[in-house]
Amino acid sequence: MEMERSLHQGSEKKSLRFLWGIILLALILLPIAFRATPFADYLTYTVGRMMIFGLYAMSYDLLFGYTGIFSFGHATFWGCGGYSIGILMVRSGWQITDAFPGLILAMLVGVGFGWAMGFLCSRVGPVAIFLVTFAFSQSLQLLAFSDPLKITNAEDGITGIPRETFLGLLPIKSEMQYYYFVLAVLVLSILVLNMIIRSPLGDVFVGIRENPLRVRFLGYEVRYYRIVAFMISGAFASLAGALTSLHERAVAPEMLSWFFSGDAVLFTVLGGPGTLIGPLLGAAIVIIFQEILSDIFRNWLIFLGISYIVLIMFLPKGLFPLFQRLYSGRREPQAAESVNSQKA
Amino acid sequence: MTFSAFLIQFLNGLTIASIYILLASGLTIVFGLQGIVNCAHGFFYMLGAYLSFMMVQQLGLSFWLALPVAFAGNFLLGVGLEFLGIRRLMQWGREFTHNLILTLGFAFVGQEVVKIIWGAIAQLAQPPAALEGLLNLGPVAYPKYWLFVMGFTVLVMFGLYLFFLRTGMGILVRSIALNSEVSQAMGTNAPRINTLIFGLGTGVAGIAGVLAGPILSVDPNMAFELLMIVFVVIIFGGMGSLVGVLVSGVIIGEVIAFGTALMSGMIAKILAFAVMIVVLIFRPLGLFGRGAVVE
Amino acid sequence: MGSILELVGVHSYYGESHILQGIDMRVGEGECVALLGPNGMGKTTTLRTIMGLTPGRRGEVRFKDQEITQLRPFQIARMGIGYVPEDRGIFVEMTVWENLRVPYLNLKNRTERRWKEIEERIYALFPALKERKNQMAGTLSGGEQQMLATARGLIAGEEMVLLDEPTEGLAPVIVRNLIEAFEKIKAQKHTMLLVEQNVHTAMRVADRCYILEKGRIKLEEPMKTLAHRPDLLEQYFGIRDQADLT
Repeated sequence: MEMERSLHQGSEKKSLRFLWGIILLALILLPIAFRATPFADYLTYTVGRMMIFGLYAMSYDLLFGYTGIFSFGHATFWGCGGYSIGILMVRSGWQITDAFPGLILAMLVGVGFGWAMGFLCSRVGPVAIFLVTFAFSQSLQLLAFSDPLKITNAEDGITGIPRETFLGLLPIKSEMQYYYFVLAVLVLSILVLNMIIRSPLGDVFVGIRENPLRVRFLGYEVRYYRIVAFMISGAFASLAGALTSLHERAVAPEMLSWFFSGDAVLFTVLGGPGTLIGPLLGAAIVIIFQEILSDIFRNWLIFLGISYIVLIMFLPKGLFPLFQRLYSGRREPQAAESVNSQKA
Repeated sequence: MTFSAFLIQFLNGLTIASIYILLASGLTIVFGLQGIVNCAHGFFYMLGAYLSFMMVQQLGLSFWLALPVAFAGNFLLGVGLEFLGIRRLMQWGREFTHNLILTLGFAFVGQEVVKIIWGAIAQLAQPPAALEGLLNLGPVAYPKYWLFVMGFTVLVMFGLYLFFLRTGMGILVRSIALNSEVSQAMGTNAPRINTLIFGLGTGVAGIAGVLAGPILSVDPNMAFELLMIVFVVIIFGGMGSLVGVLVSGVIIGEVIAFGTALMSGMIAKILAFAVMIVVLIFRPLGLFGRGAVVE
Repeated sequence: MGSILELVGVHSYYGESHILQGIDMRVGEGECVALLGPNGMGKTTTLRTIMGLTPGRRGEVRFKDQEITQLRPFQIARMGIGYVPEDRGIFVEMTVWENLRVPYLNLKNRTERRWKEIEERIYALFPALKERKNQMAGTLSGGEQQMLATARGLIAGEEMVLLDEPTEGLAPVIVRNLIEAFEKIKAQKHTMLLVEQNVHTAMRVADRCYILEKGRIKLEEPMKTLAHRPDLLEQYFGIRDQADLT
């Protein structure tokens, strides 16, 4: 019985990994395969966007899906990552064209703001967390608009962000080069986030979501770990924001708008909170829909709203667990077969 | 600042406070009763404004008719949202964040539908003929309509006070807020009362919208524009407390009025947010919060 | 004498815990039945299950031969079953008078006269409440709060009252007052189901008792019989000396 089960699980894991392999391969081959077509650039650009938003969504999943913190201020990191790039590479006057310092700065800024938000939220309940994070990101957006320190360029934002190389070695100027760069960053981030989640730290996060009192009794200071969750989440979300500002070569106060906080929520709820990959899929699906719908409907926000409603009422675990079940459902007969043949 | 300038700003603060207070009342009552935050509250405010605009400006009906119609329309819609959505989520034992997402989605849909029906350009509603023009208050002259809004708000708050503290239904509502389980064990149909009070909250939001139309303009961003400040008012005043809303509304209204006049609108808003964050962390109950819908 | 309340094969769960494991009980009209047993064994859960306050339950609860197992708490209360919770459940930020109004406002066929009659009845039983009519319920003493909770239960429970450990944590003087009130209520032929950890209280008021241990009914006895069974008293209540009972 035990052996059957572990064999079954083993083949389940193997078949899922097989699936990821296929997807990764597809992503790698995509720009090359479509290079000759007229929409090559559009495709590369859009899938690139999907990957960046996917990273953004995964960072939010760590906070919301795994640690159970319903923040509505994730736009903070999106915008701060973007502005880190913009301020360092354009406004500072230091003529930096390599992406590396900007990306590192963005991650550091993300950690910093993550610490700040986490600190404010560490001792309060879920209603307060929602409001505080919302207020925080709104305040930052107002500051970006009013630009008291004269660094954000107010409502015009920062444009003309250069995109030349990474670490002086990798060229990332063209759409296709940047695409592969983003893909590499995404894969690396997935590996790191996955490692964190499977580590004891990840268990603490899930513990805080499920039963904070118990976690406290086990000796873990819940407040401290909430802040850690915010910091890690912030680092990766900022990274995503930085990647997008390099992608668009611009940053504006709109990046701090609560729309992006709402996006983070949507991607995660749609894809499946607490699955890491689910939100990645959620982001991809939403972008596809946006692309298809926003040309047809000016009021595509209706569909966003309807998605929120339908999902939260009838599919609160998101689409990814659904896919998982369907997929392993198909695989099951094969696994049983192999066990039987072994017995024979 | 001259005295008359000061007086004008002070009255401005009271005017804007009136809108905040009306909006915050509905939101705080529902939170005190059911523990849910209705992110679509701003949408109901918007709907009230647009319904009134349509009735008065486009159909030529009386402003005084628009008030009850906006209330009734919002009440019904609010009851629908509560009964079909929020109540189900509570029955299924979902966490409170699900209600946030549900009401948020509802707000998006509602906002866009309003835009489709009435267009996405801001309009200015007209006050009723009887209230046009200025009233001479001695050192200053102030718009009659704006003074009316203040007075009407006081009237509404007084009405709510009478309702909650002097009627049988008010007693039942308060008992649910204090201890829903025990109240139900005494025969109180809490689910139905929750639904009705939710409708009351959204109805009052609609009235706020009707009143705000001629002052703040009827525009497609209404649904979320004021929501953040209203949250600040509620938190500062103490969630679930109507007295808190009154006091906090006036304070925040004056902060915004004077802040906007002396510094800038944005700085005033940031100040307000900072107040809220500080309160949430250090005195989460706010000024008057005790966890009950009282006074 | 017909049964007003009947429990048949009732199971109750709290999350994963199987608290009530097949309870059979009945309470006859005008009877005062005590539910006794050590703490944490499911006595409170039994009352809560009757009131429909426990989400996970199986079996049958019948009130006046009507099945009420699937009804919601407010529906059960409106059938005339009053509930006096273990923690009293006083609405602390309302006055005594308002507390009493809550169950009244949920009754059918309300008239001014009916309310006056109810008020008189309550104040006759609990004069202290009359004095404190307009006082905030939260400022009442423990004993007074218990009186208020009992009064509310009586108003809601015109057919039957469920009382959960009404004398718990109260000074002996107050307990005596309360027991006198219960005796009066019993004399008015008001059906009662009383959960008690204190056998003494139960002895004074109850006709019959069930002993509940680890989620099951272990024993059913008339109160008079129990008084003369030192072996049972010792086994279930640790009472060695008969003298303890006075």
